[in-house]
Amino acid sequence: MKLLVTSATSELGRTISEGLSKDHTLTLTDLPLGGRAPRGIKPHSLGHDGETDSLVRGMDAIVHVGFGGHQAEATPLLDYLTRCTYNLLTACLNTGVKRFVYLHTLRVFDGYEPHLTVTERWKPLPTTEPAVLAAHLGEYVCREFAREHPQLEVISLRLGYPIVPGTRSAATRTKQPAALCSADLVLALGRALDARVPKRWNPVHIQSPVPNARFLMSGAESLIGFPKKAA
Amino acid sequence: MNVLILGGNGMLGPWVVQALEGRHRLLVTDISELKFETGAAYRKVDAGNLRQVVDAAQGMDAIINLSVLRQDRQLAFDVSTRGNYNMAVAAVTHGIRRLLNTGPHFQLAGPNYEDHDYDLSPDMPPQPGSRLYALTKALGQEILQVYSEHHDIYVQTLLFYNFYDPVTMKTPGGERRIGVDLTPFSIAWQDAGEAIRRALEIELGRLPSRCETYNVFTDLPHHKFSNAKARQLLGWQPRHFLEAAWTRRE
Ligand SMILES: NC(=O)c1ccc[n+]([C@@H]2O[C@H](COP(=O)([O-])OP(=O)(O)OC[C@H]3O[C@@H](n4cnc5c(N)ncnc54)[C@H](O)[C@@H]3O)[C@@H](O)[C@H]2O)c1
Repeated sequence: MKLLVTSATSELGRTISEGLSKDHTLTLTDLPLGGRAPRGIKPHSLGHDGETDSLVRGMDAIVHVGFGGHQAEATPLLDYLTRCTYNLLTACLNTGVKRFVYLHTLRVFDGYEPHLTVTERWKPLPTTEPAVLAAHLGEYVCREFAREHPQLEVISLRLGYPIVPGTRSAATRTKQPAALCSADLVLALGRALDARVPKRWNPVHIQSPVPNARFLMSGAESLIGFPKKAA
Repeated sequence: MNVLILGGNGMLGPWVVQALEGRHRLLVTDISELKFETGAAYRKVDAGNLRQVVDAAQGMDAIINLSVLRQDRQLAFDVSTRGNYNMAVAAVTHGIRRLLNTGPHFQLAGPNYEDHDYDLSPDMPPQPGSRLYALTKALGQEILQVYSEHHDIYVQTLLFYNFYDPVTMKTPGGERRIGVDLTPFSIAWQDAGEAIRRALEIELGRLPSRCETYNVFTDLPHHKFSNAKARQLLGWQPRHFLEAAWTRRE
């Protein structure tokens, strides 16, 4: 597939890019940060005057980093994740790109007691921490586009935390009940990119299957076949 | 109360000032030069600028946000979304507990509701859809909702749609509607100003939660939306019913 990946210079962006590059053709983009862009990265402000249409045109899917991309103060972060998410989705509509995968965080469920069976049916409870609030608002934009536009297939992967490099044993070693290893992140994202989804709006919870895992994975299992490994 | 008004220079601002003048000490602000006569203090403040909003809010007991920018994609997010973030941060910074927000009815009842349903209440989960004006305002509202869940601030949001001069029955666009029906979410300017006064002056302890929304329009026979909550909770009574628009002429 031809994929556009945003926030590609961030650690999460790099993890995704490395993981997906074997099976997909990637266009990596990030905000122009001044100076020369790192090799292989297309600097782009994701504005609204047709430039984002050109960037998105011809892609099979967009992977848009909502949480865990760049660290920034609240104002630029809120601006980026509301306005630029809006611009990207508008560009998808303008150019006929259907699949949009938003990378969000399961931290929006921190407000629930750990013994509760939190699934995609539970209401997110974001905090005012700028990175969480901004990512939540980015997901809000995705949801409203999906609600209104039948030509879109939007998947919000709400990712476990912390995200650690390596395989499932690395996630287990953290002893964190919602940990996600990079191998599982790439596996889940790969599946989300080509899974048949029955609805326009598809929030999915993703964490590694560590002992005493915080989140139930039945939604991910039925929608994208995660965390089971391919036979 | 000392009251900061953001975006007070637009169509609704003068009516809000008229309803509050003499009862409260107002600091009216907007991005432009003052456009109407008032004895209230006036200052240029960009609602999209965090530092300016926090500065202007010092010493205030309440903030009313009337600012809106509808079309430009960058400014719409700056004003309609982050303007509310800036108001929330200013409130938390200065311990201001009373916040009034305003917006269009479709930030809550977008086409998914309005095209299909009746008796639409202000307590439904928002479905603004993806129109720029509706969505940027809805995101601003979501920010206030989240802040009210984590801080001791009380947010009241008053939703409007069409405004009328009740004597001429003209809309701001100059259209006169007599006997041809009207948008079933319409109100006279004076009644809108009065609803904002009621919300400003309500005892906070009477609010069921720290984030309440009202549909603010006059009593209309359509049963399309419900204004019962504004009437009951705020004790607000419209004085103009705009019946010339929704009764047949013969
Ligand atoms: N007029 C309507 O038909 C209507 C309908 C439904 C809801 N509303 C809502 O009522 C409220 C008041 O709207 P209005 O009718 O007075 O709109 P308006 O456009 O007449 O006024 C909005 C004001 O916001 C100001 N503004 C724009 N950018 C700003 C910035 N960066 N900083 C500070 N101020 C800025 C403008 O200068 C203007 O004075 C808004 O929340 C609006 O969404 C209005």
